[in-house]
Amino acid sequence: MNEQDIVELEIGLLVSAVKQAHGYDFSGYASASLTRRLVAWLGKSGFDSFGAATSALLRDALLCRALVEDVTVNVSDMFRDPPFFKALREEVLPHLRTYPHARIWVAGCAGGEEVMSLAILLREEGMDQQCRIYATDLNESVLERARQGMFELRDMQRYTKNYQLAGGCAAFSDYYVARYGRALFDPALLRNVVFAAHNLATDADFSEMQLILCRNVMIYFKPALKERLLSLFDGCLTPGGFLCLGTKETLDQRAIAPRYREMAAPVRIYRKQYAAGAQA
Amino acid sequence: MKALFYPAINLMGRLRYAHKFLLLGLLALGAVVLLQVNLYQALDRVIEPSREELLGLEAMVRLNRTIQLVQHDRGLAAGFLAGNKLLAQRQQAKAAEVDAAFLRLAEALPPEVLAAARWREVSGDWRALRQFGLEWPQQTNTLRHEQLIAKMLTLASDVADASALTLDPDIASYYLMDVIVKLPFFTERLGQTRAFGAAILARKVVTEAERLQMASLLGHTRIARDLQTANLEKVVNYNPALRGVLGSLDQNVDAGMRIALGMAQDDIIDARFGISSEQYIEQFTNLIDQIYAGGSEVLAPALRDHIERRIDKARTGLAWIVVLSALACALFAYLAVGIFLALTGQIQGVLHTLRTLSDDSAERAQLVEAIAAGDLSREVHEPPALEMGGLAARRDEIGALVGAIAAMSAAQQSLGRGFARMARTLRLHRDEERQQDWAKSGINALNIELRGERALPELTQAVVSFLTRHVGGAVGALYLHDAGRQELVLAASHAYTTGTAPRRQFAAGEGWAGSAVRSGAIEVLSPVPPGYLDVASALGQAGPAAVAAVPLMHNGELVGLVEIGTFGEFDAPRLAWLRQAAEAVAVAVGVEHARRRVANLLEQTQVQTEELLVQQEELQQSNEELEERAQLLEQQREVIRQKSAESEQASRELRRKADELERISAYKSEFLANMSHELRTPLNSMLILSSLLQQNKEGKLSGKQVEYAATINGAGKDLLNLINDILDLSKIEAGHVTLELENVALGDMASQLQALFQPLAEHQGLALHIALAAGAPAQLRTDGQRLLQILKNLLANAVKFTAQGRVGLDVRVCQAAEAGGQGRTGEALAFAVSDTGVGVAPEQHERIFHAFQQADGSTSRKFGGTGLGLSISRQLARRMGGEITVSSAPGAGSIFTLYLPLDAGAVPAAPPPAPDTARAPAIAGFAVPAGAQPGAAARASAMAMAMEDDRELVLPEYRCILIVEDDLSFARILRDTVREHGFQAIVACDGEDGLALAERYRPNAILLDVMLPHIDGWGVMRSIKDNPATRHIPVHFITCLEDRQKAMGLGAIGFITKPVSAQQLDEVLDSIGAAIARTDKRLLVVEDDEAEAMSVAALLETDGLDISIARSGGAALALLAQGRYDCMVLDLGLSDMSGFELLDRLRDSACAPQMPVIVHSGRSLNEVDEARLRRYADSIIVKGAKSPERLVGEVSLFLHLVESSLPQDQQKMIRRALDKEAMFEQRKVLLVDDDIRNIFSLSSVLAEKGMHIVEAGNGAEALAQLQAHPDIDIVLMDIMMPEMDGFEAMRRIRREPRWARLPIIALTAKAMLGDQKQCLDAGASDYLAKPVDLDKLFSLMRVWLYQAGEVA
Repeated sequence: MNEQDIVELEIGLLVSAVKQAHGYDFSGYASASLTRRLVAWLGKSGFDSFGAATSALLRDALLCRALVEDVTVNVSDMFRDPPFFKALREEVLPHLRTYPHARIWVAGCAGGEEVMSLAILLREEGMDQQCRIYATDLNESVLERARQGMFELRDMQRYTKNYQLAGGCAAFSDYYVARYGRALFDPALLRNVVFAAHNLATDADFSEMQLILCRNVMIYFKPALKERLLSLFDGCLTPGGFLCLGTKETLDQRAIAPRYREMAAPVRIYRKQYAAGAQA
Repeated sequence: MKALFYPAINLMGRLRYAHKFLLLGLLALGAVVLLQVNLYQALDRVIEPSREELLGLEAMVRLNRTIQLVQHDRGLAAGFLAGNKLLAQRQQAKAAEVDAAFLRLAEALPPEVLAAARWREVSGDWRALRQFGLEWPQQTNTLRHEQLIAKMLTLASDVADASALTLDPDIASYYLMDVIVKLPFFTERLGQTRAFGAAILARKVVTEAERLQMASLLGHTRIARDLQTANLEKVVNYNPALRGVLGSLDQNVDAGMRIALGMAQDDIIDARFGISSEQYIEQFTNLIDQIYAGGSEVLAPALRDHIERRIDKARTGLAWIVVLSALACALFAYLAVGIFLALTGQIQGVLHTLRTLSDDSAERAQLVEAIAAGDLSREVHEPPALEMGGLAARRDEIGALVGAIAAMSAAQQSLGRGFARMARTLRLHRDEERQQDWAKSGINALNIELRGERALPELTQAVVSFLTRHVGGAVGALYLHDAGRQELVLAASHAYTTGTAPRRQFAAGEGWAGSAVRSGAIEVLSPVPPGYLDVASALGQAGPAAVAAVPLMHNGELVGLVEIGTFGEFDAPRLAWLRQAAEAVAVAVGVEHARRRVANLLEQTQVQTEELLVQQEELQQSNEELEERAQLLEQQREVIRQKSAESEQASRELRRKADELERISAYKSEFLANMSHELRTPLNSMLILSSLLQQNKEGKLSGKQVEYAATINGAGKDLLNLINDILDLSKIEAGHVTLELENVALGDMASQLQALFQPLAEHQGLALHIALAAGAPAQLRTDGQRLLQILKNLLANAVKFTAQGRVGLDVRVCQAAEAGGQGRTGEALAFAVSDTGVGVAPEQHERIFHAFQQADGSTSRKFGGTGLGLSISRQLARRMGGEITVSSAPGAGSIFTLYLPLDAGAVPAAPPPAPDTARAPAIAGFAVPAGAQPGAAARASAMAMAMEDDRELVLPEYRCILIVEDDLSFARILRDTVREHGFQAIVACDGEDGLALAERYRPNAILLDVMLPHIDGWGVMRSIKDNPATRHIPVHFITCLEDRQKAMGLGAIGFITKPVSAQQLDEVLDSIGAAIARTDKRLLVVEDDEAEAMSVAALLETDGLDISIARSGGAALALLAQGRYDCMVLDLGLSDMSGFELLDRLRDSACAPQMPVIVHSGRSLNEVDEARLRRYADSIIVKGAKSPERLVGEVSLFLHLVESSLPQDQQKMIRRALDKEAMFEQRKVLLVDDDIRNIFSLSSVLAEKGMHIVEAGNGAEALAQLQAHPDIDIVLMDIMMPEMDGFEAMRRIRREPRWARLPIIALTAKAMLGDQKQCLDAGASDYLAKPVDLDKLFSLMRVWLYQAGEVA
C-alpha cells in the first residue's frame, strides 16, 4: 500500500466521518477535485495527516464548517458569462413574466453574486415583486456573506463590465454604494430572496420552481450525484420551467435529457417540455 | 546524648536569661525546702515517741502508785475481814486514797487505753470492791482484789504497749523502762505474800495447805526479785550514773526483803506467829513502798531525764539543719544573681555591637537594592569604626565572640568603602548610559512605531507624536514631500491648536523650514520670537523656546520634514538623536511608499491567482469529465459489441427455429394436400347439386331461389379454386411437385396466352399486347404447363388490378444476374408482365408474394381471388430455377418479371421455399389478392413469437386498441375481450415493440402493463406522453403493481390491478370506449374581447379539439350547464361578472367539478388574488409576449389529464368516507407556508378531514394568526419563508408561555441531521420532510393532536 493509497483511504474515512457526524456528504464529489481541495485544506489546517484531522473533525463542529468552507468552491462573479445573463433576460424572463408569481431556485449560490445579478436583472425587467428567489448553499458562512449583499470593491470594475456585456441597460452604480473598500448593494434587491442552507447531496427538493440556476456546481460532482441533482431539479421544475447550467455542464447523456430542450445553445439553458404530466 | 536534652534546650531556648535563672533558682529553692521539710519530719518522728514515752511513763508511775494503794487496801481489807477491826479506819483511808489515785491515773492514761474495755473493767471492779468489798468474806475480798490487781497489771502492759514503752530505741532507757514496767508484778508478789500472810497471822492458825501456798508465794517472790535485780544490773550497766543511787536503793530493798521474807518463813510457815499481823503488814508495806518509792523517785526521774535529754538533742540537730540549709540557699541565690548580671551585661554589649553592624549592613543592603533598582541618588557613607570597649579583652566565649565580631566589622568597613566607590562609579556610568538609552530606546520605540503595515496617515501621525514627545517638544508637524508637485505637504501634526494650525504645504527652499530642507541638515530657531507660535493647553498658552526643522532624507532624496517646537533649548544629544531618528523615519516612509505599491500589485495578483485557480479547477474538472465521458463511450461501445454478439446468437437461434418451422410447414402442407382431396369430395357434390338447382329444370324454384343456388354454386367454385390453390401451394411447399421438362415453343405459348386473355382484356377495355423480343429463342426447355400457369396468373392479376390502359407481356433474353439470384450466370429468359394498374408500394413488394397474408378487406371484396396466386407462381418459378420480381409504385402500374433459365434442366432447382410466416391458416386473410394494396400498413415483423392480432387489418374507421403485455396468455384474453368490444387489437409483448406499434398505428387507446422486459411500463408511458404523435392516446394501466398514484400522475386514464375479472375488463373497455367516443376534446374559452377570443381559439386549434367561445360569464355558465368541457381558459376581466365570480358560481353549481381551469389574464395579480384563484384554477397565465406559448403547453397538459381526474376523485371520495376521524374534526390547524400551492393542496386534504384551516404566508403572519385565533390546535410550519422564516417563528411562538405546548410540526426540505435538530431546538414538536407524505402527516397529527387533547 503506497502513500497515495493511504491518503485516499484516509480521505474516504474523513468524508464518511464528516457525513455521519455533521451531515455534510462529500462522497458524491468528484474525487480528484475533492482530493486536491482536501490536500490544500490539510496543508492549511496544521494537522499532520487526514487521520488526525478526522478525529478532530468528529468533535469540532467549527472545524467542520471551516472544512466545508474550504472544500466547497465559493468563487463566483456577478453576471458571470455575460451571454448567459443576456440570454436569461431575453429568452427566459419573458416566459417567467406569464406567471403571477414565479419561483426561482439558485442552487449553490455561494457568495450571492449570482443571486444579486439575478435580482438586478429582475428589477430591470420590472419583475422583482413577481419573483421569489430561493438561494441555497450548504455552506452557512457564505450564505451569511450572501445575505449581506456586500462585495469587494476591487471586483466591481469587472462586474460592471460583465453587467454591460450582459445587456445591462442602466448604470450599474445605481445599485450599490461603495465605501470602505466594499460595495454595498441595495438591500431592497434581496427583499424577495430567501437564503437557506441546503445540501444538494442529501436534501430533498423544494416545491415547484419555474427557474433553476445551478451553474458550475455539478462539475465538482461524480456522475451519480449529478444524476441525483438533475432528477431533484427535474422533480421540482414545472413543465415549461427552465434549468440553467454552467457553460461546461450539459444535459447530454443524462437521464432527464429527453424531457428537456436546449434553448440558447452556447449558454446551457434547458427548458422542460410540457409533454410529461408533471402535475403529480 | 545531646538528643536527650532537646526538650530542655527547646524550653530554655524560649526563655530570656532572666527567666532562665529565675527558673533555675526556684527549682533549687524548692529542692532545699523539700529536703528541710523531710529532715524536720524525720527529727520530729524521733522526738514524738520520746514524748509519748514520757506520757506513758507518767501513766505507768501513776498506775504503779494506784496498784500500790490497791495492794495496801487489799492488805488492810484482808486484815479487817480477818478480824482485825482496828484496821477498819486505815482501810477506809486507804480506799479513799485509792479513789484519788484512780482519778489521777485516769488523767494520765493514754486515750486508747482509757477507751478500752479493760479500763472500764478495772474501774468497775474497784467500784464494786469499794462498795461491797467489806461485806464479802475475806477470801472473796482478797480474791477480788487480786483479780483487780491482775487486771491492773494487764492494764499496765497495755499502757506500755500504747505508749510504745517497751519499744524504746535507746538501750539505756529501755531497761529503765522495763524495770519500771515490771515493778508492779514484783510488788504484787510481795503484796500477795503480805495479804496471805496477814490473814494467817490475824487468824494465828495456819494450815498445811496455807503453808505450802505461802512457800510457793515466797518462791515466786524471790524469783521476781532475782529478775528485778538482773534488770537493775543492766540498767546500771547502761546508765552508770545511776549506779550509786540504785546500789544503795537495792541494798535497802534487799535488806527489807530479807526481813519480810524471813518473817513469812519463820512466823507463818514455821507457825511461830511471833509477830502480829500489823507488824507483818508494816514490814511488807514498807518494803513495797520502798520499792515503789525507788521506782517513782529514782528510776522514773532517771528515765524522764533520759528521755528529755534525747528530745533536746533531737531539737538541737533540727535547728542546725534548718540554719545550714537556709545559709546554702542564700549563697546559691547570691551566686545566681551574680551570674545572671554578669551574663546579661556581656550579652547586651555584644548585642549592641551586632546591632550597630546590622544596622549598617541593612542600610547598605537598602542602598544596594536601590542601586539595583536604578536609584543611584542616595549618598553612600563609609561605616564608622566599631567601639568594642573592654569586652574584647575578656577570656570567655563572649570575648571570643566579640573578637570575631570585631573582625567582621573590619571587613564590613572595607566593604562599605568599596561599595561607596562602586556606587560613585555606577552613578557616573548610569548617567552616560541613560543618555545613550534615551537615544537608543527612542530609536527603538520609533522603530516599533514605524513597524507593521500601517497606512501613511496613521504612520506619520504616530511618528510626529512620538518624535515630539520623545525630545520633550510641545508641538510638532510632519510634512511629506510630494515629488510631483515639488512641495512639502502637511501629513500629520502633534498638539497644534486650531489657532496655530500649521501651513498645509510649502515649497522646498521656501522660508526657514524650506531652507532647512534644501540644506538637508537640522536647523534650530532659538529663541523663538514672541507670537511666532503658541502652544496651548486647556489652562493656558505660551510660545516655545526653540523650534527645530528636521529634514527627512532617504537615499539622498527628500522624503519630508519634521518641525518640532520645545519650551526648553535643544541640547546636543537631542539634536543628534533627531538626526538619527530622521533617517529612520525617512526610511520607513520610503518603505511604506514602496510597500503600498507592492501591496496594490500583490492584491491584484492575488485576485487574479484566485480566479485563475478556480478557472483551472473548473478546467481540470471538465477535463476529467471529458475523460469520464470517453470511458462511458468506451463502455457503451463494449455494450454494443456484446449486444451484437447477442443478436448474432439470437439470429442463429432464429435460423434454427426457422428450420424447425420449415419442417412443421412441410407437415402442414402435406396435411393440406391430403385435406384438400377430402374437401373436394363433398364440394364436388355440392357444386353439382347447386348447378342442378340453378338450372331449375323442373321450374319449381322461384327466381330468388335460383339466385341463391347460383350464389351457392359460385361460392362453391371459389372454395374449390381456393382448395386447388392451397393444394397446389402445399404440394410445392411439401416438395411434391416434379417438373416435366419439355421443349416449349415460345411462339405457340404467346398466341395461346393472347387467345386466352384477349376477351378478358377487351371486356375490361384494356389493350393486350404480347410480344417476343427479337433475340428471344424460339423455344425453351422447361415445364410448359407450369410456365403457362405462372404467366396466366401474372396476366390475370394484371388484368384484374388494371382499370384502364394496357396490359402487356414481353419476352426477352437477359443476363441471369438481373434476376437478383446469387450465383447465377449465363443468359436467362425474362417474361415481363406489365400493367397500368394501381401499383404496389415498394415496401409491399415482398409481402405480396407471401401466402395467406391479411390484406385490405375492401380490396379482397373488390377484386376477389384467393390471394395465393403470386405465392404459388413464385414457388413454381423457383422450382424451375427461376425467380419472379416486381417493380411497381402506387398509381404507376406494375411490372412482374419472370426469369427462367434457358434450360431448366441445367440449373439446379431452388430448394423448397421457406414459408414466409408461421401464422395459423385459420385466421388467414382470405381476401388478400396477389398484389395486395398498400393501404394495409404493417411492419414486416421479424417477431417469431408474436401473437396473432389485427395489425394487418387496421383501418382508419375502426377503433383499435394496443395491448402491451408480456404475459402471452393474458395478452390473448385481453385481445379477445378487446375484440368482443368491437375494437381491433394490436398486441405488443414488450415496451419497445409497444412504442413502435403505438407510433405506427396510432391506436385509439393503450392497455399497458408495467412489468415489461427492457423498457418498463413507466418508461413506455413517459415516452408515449413525450411523443407529440402519441401523447393524446389514453393509456390504461393493467398491472400487478399497486402504484396507482404514479400511474395517474403520469397521466393514465385508469388503473386496475391484476388479477382482473372479466367484469372489470368489460368496465375498463367500456370506459375506454366512452373516452374514445368523445374523440374531440372540448375546450371552453371565456373571453369577452372577440379578437382575443378568436386569436386564442386559433392558437389552440388542433385536430380533435372542439373549441367553444363564451363572451361573457353568463354565456360560459350556460355552455357549461349544457355539456361537458375538458378544460376552460378564462380571462378574469369579463363584462358581466368578474372571473372570480364566475369561478365561485361554477364551484357552487358544481356543473363542471373536475374541469381544469386555466386563468389567462392581462391583470397583474397580487398574492391575495392568486391565493383566491388557486382554489379553483389549476394554472394562471399572465398575458405577455410568451404567454401564448405557455397557454398551448398548459392546455395540452390539462386536456390529457382530464381522464385521470375521474378515478382520482372517486378515490378521494372513498378516502373521505374512511378518513372522517373524530380526532381531526372541528380542530383548527394553522398552515404556514409561503407557497400558495402547498397551502392549497394541504388545506384541501385537511378540510376533507373536517379540520378548520387558518393560513399564513410567513412567520410574521403566523404569529398574527395565532393571536387572532387563540383556539388553534396545531401548527404546520414551513421553514423556508420570506420575511420571517420558520425557525424564527417557532422561537417566537415558544417565547409566549400560553403557546409553550402548542404542537408545531415543522415541514423541512432538508435531510441534514443538523436541520432536524435545529427544528427541534427552535421549538418544533416534530418535523416532517418535504415533499409531504400525507400518511405520515396524518400519523404525526394524530400523535400531536392526541397529546394536545390530553393536555387540554
